[in-house]
Amino acid sequence: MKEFTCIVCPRSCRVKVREEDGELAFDGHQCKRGETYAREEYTNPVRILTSTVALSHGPLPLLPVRTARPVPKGMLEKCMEEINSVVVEAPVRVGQVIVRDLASTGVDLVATRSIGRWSQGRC
Amino acid sequence: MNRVKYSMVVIGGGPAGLAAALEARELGCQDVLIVERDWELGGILQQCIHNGFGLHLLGEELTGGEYAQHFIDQLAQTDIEVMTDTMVIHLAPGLITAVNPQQGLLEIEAGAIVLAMGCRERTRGAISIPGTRPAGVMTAGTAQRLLNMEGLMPGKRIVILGSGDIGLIMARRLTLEGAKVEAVAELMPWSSGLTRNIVQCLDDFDIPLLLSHTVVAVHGSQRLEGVTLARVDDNFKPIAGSERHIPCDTLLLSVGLIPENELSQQAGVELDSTTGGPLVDQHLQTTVPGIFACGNVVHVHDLVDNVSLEAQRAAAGAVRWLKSEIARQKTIPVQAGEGVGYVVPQRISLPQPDEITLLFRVKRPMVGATAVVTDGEKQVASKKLPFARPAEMAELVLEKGSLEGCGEQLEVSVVERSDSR
Ligand code: SF4
Repeated sequence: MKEFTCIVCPRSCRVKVREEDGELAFDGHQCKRGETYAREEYTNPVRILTSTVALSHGPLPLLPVRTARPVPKGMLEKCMEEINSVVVEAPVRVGQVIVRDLASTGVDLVATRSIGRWSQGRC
Repeated sequence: MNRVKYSMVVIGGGPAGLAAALEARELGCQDVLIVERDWELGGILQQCIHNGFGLHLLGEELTGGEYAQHFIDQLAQTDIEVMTDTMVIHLAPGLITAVNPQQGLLEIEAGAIVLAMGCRERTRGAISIPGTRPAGVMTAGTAQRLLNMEGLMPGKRIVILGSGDIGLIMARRLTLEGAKVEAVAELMPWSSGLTRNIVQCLDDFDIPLLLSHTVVAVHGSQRLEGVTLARVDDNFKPIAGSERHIPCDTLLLSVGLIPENELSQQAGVELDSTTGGPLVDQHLQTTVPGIFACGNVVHVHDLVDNVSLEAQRAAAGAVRWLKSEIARQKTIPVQAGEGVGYVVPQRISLPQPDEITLLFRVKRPMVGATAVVTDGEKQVASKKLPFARPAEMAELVLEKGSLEGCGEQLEVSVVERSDSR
């Protein structure tokens, strides 16, 4: 059995999920949306991953990035490994694809800010 | 000394300042200047690389940087002037003294001034944690800046005191970067962070949230070596015998934010002792005519969307003030009544030609509550609050004309009705 806090509305129901004869049984939710939420969290939880990659020739050493879409929760660690090996060169535009098909998830890693190239002083 | 002149000057180029400047320009103000002390615009959003911004205002879930970029890109399409690397060192009504490396000392005359300096974090000193003074004790926002902007890892074994959103976000971020977050301790019996952050930042990584707990000792001489946590009773006193020692090299503090109002006070702006920000009316005008304020410098918001909206109202107020369109025949106070921590605006200028948005926080979590605005015995407005939490700001709109014939003061109270559950 697993228990989840539903975050769909502020009521924050604790929804219990049990497997009974290959079927999922739900308990504790006060509306249908809670069941949908708990089913997804139980079977295939996904998250947007946000992080940073190393930036060269920029005014800052890092560029913030995100996955363009949510990725499976179980893949977060693999994604982080790949993210940690990336170096990108400034300038970068917000939304620019930094890594295609991050850790074979089928999801791209994109830049979440624009940043100029470092010239004299700051840019 | 250099002397320049603008119709409107916005102090601070974070989310509040950006939205205020854009709105002022949109409403026809010809010359608008933003003064920003950092080297770039965006304020604290630039270190908030996590997502969850903009859902209410822009209809999509953005990271802090993306949200800032949206406004920065809009600004680039306008003739709004921006001075970065510029520190305001003195503020008087209509006159700003600032300094920057290019121009040196600078006097800026301003028709209207919008304060948008934001807030800063409460520190260890502000909450008096006992124990030694080793390295490794810092605010959650400092750790966020080190990790997300400077590429420095604050530590390997972390304890977080306070369950504010920045602390929760940092618990996830540090875990993903390979640190071990041992626990988040919260003094109150409820979390001060959003439920979504508790689920996605703590539950996702099996990080324990210890409610009604605090740090009673800090150990280590050079570098932090551990902390002692203890459970607290209803009066927040540590309970003897409940202590436990947790080895760690870093203690992050996420224990609240303080509006940054040193400049406001120089200009003679009166502050609200509860919010720590200026007393404002519905136009976000402070007690000094021509000085307006918005965003976290007024009161600490939980959603940036509300900061931007408040900034737009402040800009609208400032533009109308410049055109002498704000009538202030009478000003009445808005009090925080039963169950309410504070209300912004704290005063209403009458007559009231438009609707007024009241923002307030409840004192404790409540289910099936109702917010009521009263004028003496008379109820002026009410709103159901099915699930009210101190962490989530509540809003109530007073319709146009609803204050006609209104008395000497308004009060906002929130009462829980057990039968409405
Ligand atoms: S189950 Fe329904 S009522 Fe309960 S928190 Fe989820 S959405 Fe809200």
